[in-house]
Amino acid sequence: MNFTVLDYTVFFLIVLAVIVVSFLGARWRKADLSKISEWSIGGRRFGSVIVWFLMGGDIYTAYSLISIPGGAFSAGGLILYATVYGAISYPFLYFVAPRLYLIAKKHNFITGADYVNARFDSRILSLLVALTGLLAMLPYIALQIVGIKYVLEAMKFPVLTSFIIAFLIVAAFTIVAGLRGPALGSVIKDVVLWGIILTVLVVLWMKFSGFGPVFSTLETSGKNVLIPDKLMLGFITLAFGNGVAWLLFPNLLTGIFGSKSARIIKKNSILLPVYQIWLMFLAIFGLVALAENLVPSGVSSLAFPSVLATYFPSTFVVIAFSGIIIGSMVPASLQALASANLITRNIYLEFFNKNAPESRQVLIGRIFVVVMIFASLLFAIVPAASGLIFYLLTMSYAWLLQTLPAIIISMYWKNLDKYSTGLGWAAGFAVVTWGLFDVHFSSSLLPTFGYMYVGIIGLAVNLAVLLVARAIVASLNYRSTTKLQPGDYADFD
Amino acid sequence: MSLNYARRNRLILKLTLLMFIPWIALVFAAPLYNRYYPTVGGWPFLYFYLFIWIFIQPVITFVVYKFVDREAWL
Repeated sequence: MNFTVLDYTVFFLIVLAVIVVSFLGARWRKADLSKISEWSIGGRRFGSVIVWFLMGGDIYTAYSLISIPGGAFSAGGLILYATVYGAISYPFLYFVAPRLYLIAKKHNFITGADYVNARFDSRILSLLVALTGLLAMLPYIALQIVGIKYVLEAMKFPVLTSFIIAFLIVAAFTIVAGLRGPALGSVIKDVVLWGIILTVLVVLWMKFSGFGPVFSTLETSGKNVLIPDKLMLGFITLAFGNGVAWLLFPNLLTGIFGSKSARIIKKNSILLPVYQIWLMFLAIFGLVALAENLVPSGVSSLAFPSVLATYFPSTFVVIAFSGIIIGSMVPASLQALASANLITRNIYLEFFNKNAPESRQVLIGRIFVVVMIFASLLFAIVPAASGLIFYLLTMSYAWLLQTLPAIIISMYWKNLDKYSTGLGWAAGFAVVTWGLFDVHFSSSLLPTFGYMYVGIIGLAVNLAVLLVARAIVASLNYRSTTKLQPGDYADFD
Repeated sequence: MSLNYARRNRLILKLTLLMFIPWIALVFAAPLYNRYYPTVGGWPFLYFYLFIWIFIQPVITFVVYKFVDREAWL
């Protein structure tokens, strides 16, 4: 597909608008950005609408636009696990997150590992949780970078140079504006993406009279649009594991902690699922590409770009492409920010400089935004060869799932001690890493366990070890300590 | 922590609506809804079922928010 000068102009104007707005975030609701909580979580001042855009901006990204249609194109109904896990994680958000939010607000926590540190009175356990979060953030940022590769290629930009320029800009506005930058940027990003998806939906809906013929074409040509029976256990465990792990993502916790009140979190667990509509239709767009044979090369990541190129004029295609670019820059900013918070609060402050003033913490945070972006660039450039980038993300989920006892179960199980939690984490993490290594990091479903999701296997081992260790610790009459008061768990109904 | 009777019932209702129902309907029922027929408007049952659940789930959460939750801090 060839683009005119006008097309390139439109493309750059949209991308530029997001960049400018993200820089201007620094001046929005003017605050003293040398305060750590002002820079890193926007001073806990975001209302329902901004939190909606912020968290939506974080969850529904370039990744969704490229790999959901790609997944449907290559593996049929298995990709629908993405629509299922949202319906698991939103009620979970409603039930669990307000409690964590209230504790965090009372004690001025900025990361999940801050909470772990106080709850268990253990900076080692907090460090483990922080490192797990960092390890999970790396492929997640890398995924945003890889997500724009096909767009850059289609628009004939030099890929590597564009990667570096785009993500240096991300680093720059994150440094300047902190959470306020991507919070504002995500508003434009989502308006553009909603516009694109709804337009594609309406056009294709009319063209294929409600998609019925697409399904029947696939059915008669013998292509499976259902979940393959062999992968049923994989589907169930993926949906469940990811639904539960979702709340453990450092970047989502940033959005949660940035809310003005717990009520806003509850409202958002009702409002955020609207975004799930995207996922279902994006999967169907992937099936359109399959039914109409739009991707001769068979590269699954090209499914959505091919649909665009086939049915739309070049100006609309570049608008969609700009949506994909900003849909990767805004989330990358949030993820780099969340990672920098973990490094600053749970590694630097805890282990290197206990008495760092807030302005110093902000400085360290800003430095590590750049470090994380560069690390992810390296990460992105090496395994990017794999077409199925969604496995990268499932690895993050599998590792993060192992912090469930430390961050969430510990809010309800008051006697849970640091030794049991730590041992469980170690066992779960080891099992996940071994499992992924065993299949050479090519998939997160393990054939030797009936294609069960590796994260759930890890969690099962994690919890088993935790229970045994807990029984032993209890029999030794060990009294665990905590910096939290019983009254901190204020939400109990 | 001892909960009084009404609070405990409310907690059980909340847990059922927010967790057990979506878990069963969407996760554990997957082998049952993973089918092509009956189709609805040309959509295989699998796609139609998961699509309507995108709307059912927030409605359930809204019902809990409006009618079940009675937390003092809200």
